[in-house]
Amino acid sequence: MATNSDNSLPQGSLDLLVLQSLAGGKRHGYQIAKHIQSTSGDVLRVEEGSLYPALHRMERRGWIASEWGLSETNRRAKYYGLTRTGRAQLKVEVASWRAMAEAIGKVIDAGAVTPRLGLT
Amino acid sequence: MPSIPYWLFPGDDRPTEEIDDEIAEELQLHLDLMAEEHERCGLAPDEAKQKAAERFGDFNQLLRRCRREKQGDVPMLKRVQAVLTGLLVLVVLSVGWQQWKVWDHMDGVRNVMHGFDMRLSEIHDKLKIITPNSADSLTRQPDDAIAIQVIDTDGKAIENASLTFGWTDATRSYHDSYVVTTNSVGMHDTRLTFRDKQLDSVTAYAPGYAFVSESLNRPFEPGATLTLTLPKATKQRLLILAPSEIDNLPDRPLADAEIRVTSRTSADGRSSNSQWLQLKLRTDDEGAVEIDCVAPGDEIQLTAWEPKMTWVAGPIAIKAKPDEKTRAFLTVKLRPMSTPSNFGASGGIF
Repeated sequence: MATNSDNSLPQGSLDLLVLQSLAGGKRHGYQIAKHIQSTSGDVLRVEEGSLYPALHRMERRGWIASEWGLSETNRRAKYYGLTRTGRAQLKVEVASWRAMAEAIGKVIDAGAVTPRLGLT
Repeated sequence: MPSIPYWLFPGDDRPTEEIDDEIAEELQLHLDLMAEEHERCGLAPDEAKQKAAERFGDFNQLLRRCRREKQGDVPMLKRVQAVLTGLLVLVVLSVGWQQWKVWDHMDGVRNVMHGFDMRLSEIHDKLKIITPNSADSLTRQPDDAIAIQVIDTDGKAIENASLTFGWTDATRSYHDSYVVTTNSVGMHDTRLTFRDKQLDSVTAYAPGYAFVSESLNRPFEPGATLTLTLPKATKQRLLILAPSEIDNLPDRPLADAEIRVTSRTSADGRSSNSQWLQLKLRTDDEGAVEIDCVAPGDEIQLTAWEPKMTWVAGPIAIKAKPDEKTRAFLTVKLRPMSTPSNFGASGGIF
């Protein structure tokens, strides 16, 4: 079975992880990346080239909102927070992910996985 | 939950430079924080910055990607809007240009037509001199057609004079009228009969002239010309008085009432009836009215209407030489009309 050796995020999971990391409060981009990395035990690392376009995309969709503030080192930083729409979207994303994970787990438990399927 | 297409979400329409500055500041902070973390791990500041930059990737490329996400289709829409606005301006200018060319061309056409009309009038006048009793138009007339010519006392044609024709049906039980105007040489061609209608009178009038009427209930030579000569009118101010409703009280001014000059007889004894002529006058609050459809020396008959009463007056002699300076009032005393007024069927003086 192929392994995800470069610790890149599973496809389609970035939005979920960003929304979840903001569920506990406002964070700027660097804090979001560090939160995902540390919470996942260094398993998941967000590429900066993916994180910031995703943040701007989710802001345009109305899932998150931004405002300028001061960082922990007194520098100007852009903080993001969940909107009401974003909280609803997070619920949807979590439910979808759980359903996917459960389905994959069932297939694994049933012993129906073969190398040809190449699950990664 | 049905998802809204991503492209429907409005983009950031701020100036691109402003958006770029904001994104650059955000990315630079991330880069600096990464470098600081590497420094905390023991790297030298320069090495820390270099490692952070390598990890970060192409800064400008990432900035452009972020800008595209923020703006969405705004730049494209702005370009589309600019193109459409330009096209709209071109279309408006083009239409305006075409319209101006049409108007300019039509002015030329109108000038040509006016010149043609003038030339036609000259030919018409010459034909009239050569064959005064022939048809005065250049088209062949039906057998019962006549020409009507309206002139003043100097023989000058009166253009745009109104001709009010009274007509009746075959049973002579229905009467009505219609109005036409003379052409540029004071002429009008008409048939005396058409379908079930028969013309029985004509009344000519023009502002500044007294009205003249003529019976059409007599034989005419085919293509004959009936000439109506309108004398110059005089302005005569009248004070209309009606008997008081209470005995032994003086006459009262007939205020705000409709007045009509129903007939006029000229000094040479020629009578005209305004049976169908729509020359309505109205007295003012003091019972005064000015008439200008009669000639000096005329004797006139008047009819006046109140809501519950019809009055008549006459014969009233119009001054042979009106006093233009003082313009004194001519007092007219009304009397009740003996029979109900059925204006339009009171019988003319023919």
